[in-house]
Amino acid sequence: MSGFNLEKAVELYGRELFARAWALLCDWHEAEDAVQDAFVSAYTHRGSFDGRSERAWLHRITYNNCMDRLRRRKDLPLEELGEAETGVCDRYDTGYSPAVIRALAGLKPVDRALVLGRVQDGLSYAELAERLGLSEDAARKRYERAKKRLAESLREAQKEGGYEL
Amino acid sequence: MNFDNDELLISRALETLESGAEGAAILDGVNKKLAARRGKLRRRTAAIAIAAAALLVTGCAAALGGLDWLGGVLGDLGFTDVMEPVEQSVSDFGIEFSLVGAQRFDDTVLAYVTVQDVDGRGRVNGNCYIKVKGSGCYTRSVDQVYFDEEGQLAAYELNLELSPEFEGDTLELALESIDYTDGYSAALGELPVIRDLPIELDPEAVASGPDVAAGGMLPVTKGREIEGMDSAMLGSVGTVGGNTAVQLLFSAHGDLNWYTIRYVYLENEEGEVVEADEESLKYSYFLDGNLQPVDLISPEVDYMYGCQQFVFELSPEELEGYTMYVRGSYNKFVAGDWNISVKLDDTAIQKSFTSDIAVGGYLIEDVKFELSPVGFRMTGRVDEPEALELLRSYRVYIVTDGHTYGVRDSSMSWETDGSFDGYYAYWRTAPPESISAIEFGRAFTIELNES
Repeated sequence: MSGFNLEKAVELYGRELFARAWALLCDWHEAEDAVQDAFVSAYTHRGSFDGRSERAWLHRITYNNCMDRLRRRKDLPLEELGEAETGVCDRYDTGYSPAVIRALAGLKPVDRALVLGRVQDGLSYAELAERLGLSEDAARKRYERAKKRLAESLREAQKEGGYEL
Repeated sequence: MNFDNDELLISRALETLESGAEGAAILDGVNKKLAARRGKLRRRTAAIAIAAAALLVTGCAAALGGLDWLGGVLGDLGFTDVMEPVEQSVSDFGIEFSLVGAQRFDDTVLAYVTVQDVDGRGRVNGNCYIKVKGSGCYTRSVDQVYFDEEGQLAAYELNLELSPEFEGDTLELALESIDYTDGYSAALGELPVIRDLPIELDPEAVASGPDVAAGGMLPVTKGREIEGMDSAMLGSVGTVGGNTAVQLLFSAHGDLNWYTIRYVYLENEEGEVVEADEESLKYSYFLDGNLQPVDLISPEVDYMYGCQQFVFELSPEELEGYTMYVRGSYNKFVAGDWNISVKLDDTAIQKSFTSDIAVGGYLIEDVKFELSPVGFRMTGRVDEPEALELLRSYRVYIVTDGHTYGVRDSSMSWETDGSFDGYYAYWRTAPPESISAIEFGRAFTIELNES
């Protein structure tokens, strides 16, 4: 991947990767860390890029990074930690709708991964199963349950006036 | 892909997630992380030189990984300047765990520890994760701040929160495990995996094994080792509610692979598949050397094994011709007993005040701030949960000596009555008197001089 331009990649994909990471992790600082780590991984492993789609490659690294963080969040076996950095930053907010934040946060991480993977990326059940280590049938059943639950939460939020389409 | 009504609703909702993340800010963080990684290599050379000099003078290895040494390595990106030195070490399984400095700031404890693979077997690396627990406290964060590849030594900064139950002035610190699976490989999807590993089952052993009612767990026993799954073995086989039940037993002590089993199924030669029933999955993660559950509230022994039980809707009589397959991933671990006690000096909170915070149309009144040189605590009460969610969604900054710094980490707990307790850790020492403002993103700024 000799043509990989870090600055350009961050400019092109930084926002959408952050949104994706946040929606998966539901944690501002962790999402920021995950996206930064994803770019660091991409940069340091740029030789392994197959050259087909830079965007898809970065999404995959971010997704894997987030899944790794979610896995480490469990009491077993370890808690997550971050990389050292200096912490001098520009300022920015998430700007997310509180109702959507609450609806997403109400799902289990693996369910968020299923719903976001399917609705945002259009992944097939086979691809979701492969990514999450589930059987295709289990991925389909679990996706249906999670989708219904998220939609119900969003409809409730609409009724309460906390969220407008 | 054609969306149904639910998917359409979700898709539109997700479109509203307009991230305010700015590319420049993300790039800033990426560049600093890359610089930090390059810095590790640069610092390594310097550290070796310092260590060699110290060995000549003192004749002992205490300087390598000592607080002064670490302070020199970290520069101003650390807290060694407000911390008391400690030199205590303990070894187990060829791993040396050392506490090099610790300091209490009211209910916060900051400590620096090092881990070193003195056997030189590569079990400490630049991406390894350690699990550390303190008696009577919660672990807020554990960050690797330095790695010496030559010496296989890593230094970590711990941020611990003392619980109300913490008594006295002595902290018992325990390193429980090191996960040395390479994190960056994991980010690239290269976590070690087991894919459809076959495990032969004996239908007669299942039929003659223990039988428990539906929803129960077989008594855990040790079975045979499993080829292709180091440090794992079969546990009991038997029936649960008349259905075939199989346990997998995982070692949780010493050098081991820690498995995350994603998918277990039976398949016969005709390709007929019976998946493990997700609802019937049972865990017993904390077992002692005799396979008895460990009392986690007041453990007197270490846990040595973990067990997962899978149930298939298939009687033992129908099991003939089926093979069990396992799919999952694993991490490389060393788990053991490394315990250190340290008497803590307490530096009292140096500045406290109350202020109202306005976020997203909500006013959170009388929020109490307590500042120490290493972070600040924020406690209060909200009537609307949305207010707290908004508050948590903001990036927080401190303004000190004319510079604006993002906080390093944050944690927030809240109760059903609306009370909340947040802690924001700094990157570097910031004396409370030097902080002129606390900013919550673009939403709100507290000028300390006015408070």
